[in-house]
Amino acid sequence: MAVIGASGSASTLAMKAITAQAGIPQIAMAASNNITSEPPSDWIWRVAPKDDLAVERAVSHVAEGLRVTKIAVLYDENAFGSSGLAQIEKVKDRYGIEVVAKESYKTDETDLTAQLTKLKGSNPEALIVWGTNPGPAVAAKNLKQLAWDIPYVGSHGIANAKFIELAGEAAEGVTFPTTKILFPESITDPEQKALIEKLITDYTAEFGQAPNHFSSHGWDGIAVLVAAIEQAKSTEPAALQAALNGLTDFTGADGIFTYTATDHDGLKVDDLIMVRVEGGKWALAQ
Amino acid sequence: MTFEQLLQYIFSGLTSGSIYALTALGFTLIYNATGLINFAQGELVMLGGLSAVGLYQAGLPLPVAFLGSLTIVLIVTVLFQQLAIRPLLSRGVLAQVIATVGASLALRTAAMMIFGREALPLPAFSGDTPIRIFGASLNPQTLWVVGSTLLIVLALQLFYRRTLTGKAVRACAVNPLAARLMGVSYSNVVLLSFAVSGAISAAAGVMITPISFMTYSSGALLGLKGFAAAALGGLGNPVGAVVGGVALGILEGLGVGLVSSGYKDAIAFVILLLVLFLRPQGIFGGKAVEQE
Amino acid sequence: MSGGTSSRVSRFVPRNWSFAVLAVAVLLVPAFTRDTYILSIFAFMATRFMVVVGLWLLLGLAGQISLGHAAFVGLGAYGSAILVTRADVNPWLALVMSAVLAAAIAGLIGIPTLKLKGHYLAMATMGFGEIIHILLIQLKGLTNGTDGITGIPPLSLGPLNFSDPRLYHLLVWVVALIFFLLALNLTNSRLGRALQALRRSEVAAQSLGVDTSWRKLQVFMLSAVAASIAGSFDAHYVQFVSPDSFTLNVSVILVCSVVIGGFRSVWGAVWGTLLITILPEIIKRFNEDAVNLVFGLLIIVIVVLLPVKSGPLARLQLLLRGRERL
Repeated sequence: MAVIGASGSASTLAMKAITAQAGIPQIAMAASNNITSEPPSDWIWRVAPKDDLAVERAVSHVAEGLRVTKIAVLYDENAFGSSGLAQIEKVKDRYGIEVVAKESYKTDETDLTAQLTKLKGSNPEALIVWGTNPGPAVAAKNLKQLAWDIPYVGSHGIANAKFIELAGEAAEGVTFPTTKILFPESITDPEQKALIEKLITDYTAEFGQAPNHFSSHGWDGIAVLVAAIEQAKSTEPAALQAALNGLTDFTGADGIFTYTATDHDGLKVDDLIMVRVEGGKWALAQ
Repeated sequence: MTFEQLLQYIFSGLTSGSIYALTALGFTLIYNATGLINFAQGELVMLGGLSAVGLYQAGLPLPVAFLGSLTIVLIVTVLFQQLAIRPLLSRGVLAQVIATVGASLALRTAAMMIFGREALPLPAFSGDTPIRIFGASLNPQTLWVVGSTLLIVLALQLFYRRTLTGKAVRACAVNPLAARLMGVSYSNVVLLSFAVSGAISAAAGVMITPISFMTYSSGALLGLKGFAAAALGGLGNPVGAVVGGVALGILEGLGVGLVSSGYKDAIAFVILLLVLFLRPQGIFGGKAVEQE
Repeated sequence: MSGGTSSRVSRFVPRNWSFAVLAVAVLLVPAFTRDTYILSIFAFMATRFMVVVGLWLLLGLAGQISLGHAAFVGLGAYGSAILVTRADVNPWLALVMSAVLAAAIAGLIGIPTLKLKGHYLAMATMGFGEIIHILLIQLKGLTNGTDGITGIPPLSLGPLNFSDPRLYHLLVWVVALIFFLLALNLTNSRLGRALQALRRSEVAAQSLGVDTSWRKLQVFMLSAVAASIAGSFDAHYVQFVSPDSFTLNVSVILVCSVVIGGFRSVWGAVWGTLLITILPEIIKRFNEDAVNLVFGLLIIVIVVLLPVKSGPLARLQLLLRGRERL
């Protein structure tokens, strides 16, 4: 009747052609933009915040949190980093941000001092680094080495312990966007807060460790489907599709979901929070 | 571009350039003894770095991990030389290239299976605080790398010119048959050359890991660039190897700074092709490169 | 269709019944199955076979090493992709144009490097392969960078639409088998004998009047063309190309295919392709990651252990294989 999958973007993309052809709803828990932006997309909805959303959250942090206007962007030349840059360019005007310089790097680049030196020459007020480990960690170390004291905003790709392990002390002060499950106190919606707190309690009791965003995606995957079934009062694929498209203000673990026929992403920018590395651990940034 | 920036590009070039220099030296040692190019040289550097990480994470202090990784790579290199290279010395270039290419693939995959796919760090030997020189910053780890390179080159020169064994090695490079007639054990010379080459590469790997981490796949690019550096300086010429390495590193740094970062790696390959096409003997004139 | 070689195709000698068996067996596969998964495996085997045959000619016959052959495959794939999706060129014409480009570039690289010792060609082709990989990523306007090019149409010829897996199977295997036939005959032709002589001793061959530089260049260009055509077919089959498919690792695995399959004869290419497709499936059952480790060790073992120069093992080998030596 429906498929919940996958956690990884590549598998999700591979699956969606099949589910679309079979006319079966698929609930994805992956972040890559083209899951919903490229056809076929009528039969796939996602519960994880998509990459573009994380980019926008980072940009909004720069504009509203840091209150600066000139930024430099250092991005991985792969699909993740390039689409991050593209999204920055797309939303920057909305937030009054100017990209004064941008440099790319190869995914496994070992030395970013040259790129950073070049960026420094344009006098930006904040630096956005968009990539996944180890690039951003190298960037953090190089920043420290260059003694360049500029706010470093990273991608959700560094929302893990690996980044701190690689960057060591250089990770201090780095901020990045992520979902609210790490800091339940940041949740403003009382229904969502209650849900998350119950999720954390039950999960920890059951599995002996705190849940992370993969857990919350898993929860939402099922919750959204169940909500659709209840709404449609049927399990027919076509009815489910209509119900999902009409799902409004549904409280999930990752945020408040609202889907429409054209928006299968469901979440908004403020469903994400900014986290800062402090003392080798994470703290809420704002 | 300001002077500060220029200096910074040169400093970052110096760091990677020294690693290329050491890798190129590794190539040169083996080439001088056997006439073959070790396509697995980069993997030896990678193994040095990753072994040190493994030992360090197992709890050994850094200096011990350093020596430990040298030992490990030494063993691997000698094993490889005895099992795969020695039988192939009389066989011809094709077999030798295939064997070393196979070794690089095997070592790379083994490293992936043992150490995983992610990048691994090491703490800097003497801390992270950058040294400011005329407005640009130098990573103290770079001084370790550059310093070691100079020491190694010096030691090699002394070895070649002042010791009997060193002269024996040089004799083999010039004419193995005549050297053997003079009582030099060619197979020992080959063994020694491989061992020293492995040790130098391993040291390079350990020293670079605090700066740029090490992954199982780091060796491939390092090997290629090390060879480009050796070819640039003149294959078979140790001084050429070091000069070529540093030159390549600085050219890369300037390239990124002045042109673009996307083509950084292409610089090494273009230099390689230019050298091969225009002046195969390199800057300082290496050994004979033509088909025999 | 192949272009680049000037040797006449010798008469097909009837004793090559093994070729007939192979051809019939392969071409009959679609009669026995409609399973798209199995047919897709065969489809990739066909194009890989083309590349391996070409590489065998270079490596096994002429004794020259290329560590950048994935780049030639990439040239064919991207050449077809760009010409067809951006410039509306007829896919068949694009295939030929890409092959010509590949031959030209092979010529350009070959002329200076084939004079040098074997490992110089290996390094030069390695460097060339990396440059192509970088260009595929950096020339975003042309190649779409890391995102790759999508929407490449399947091949068609008049009423025949090759998006039908069974028709495609026939098409691609007919082409592959033609390559194989050409290679079989090449071995016995003037070019083939010249190359074998060259592999034994270049000096001796030259003294006998063989223009070794030109012969080596010919075979290098021929192998590039085979790779390019294979790449073009893949592009139309998968309908998508990306730089990730054309890396140094791929080039090395191609060389492994030839070595593992055997240098003895062109049939090595058959075994090599088969083993490269089947071995990973077997190895993965034991350990997901160990495939390349096995390949690497295997080629070392193969190259070290055979042939042996003296002793009972050597005599046995001589007996079994005639007087051929690596």
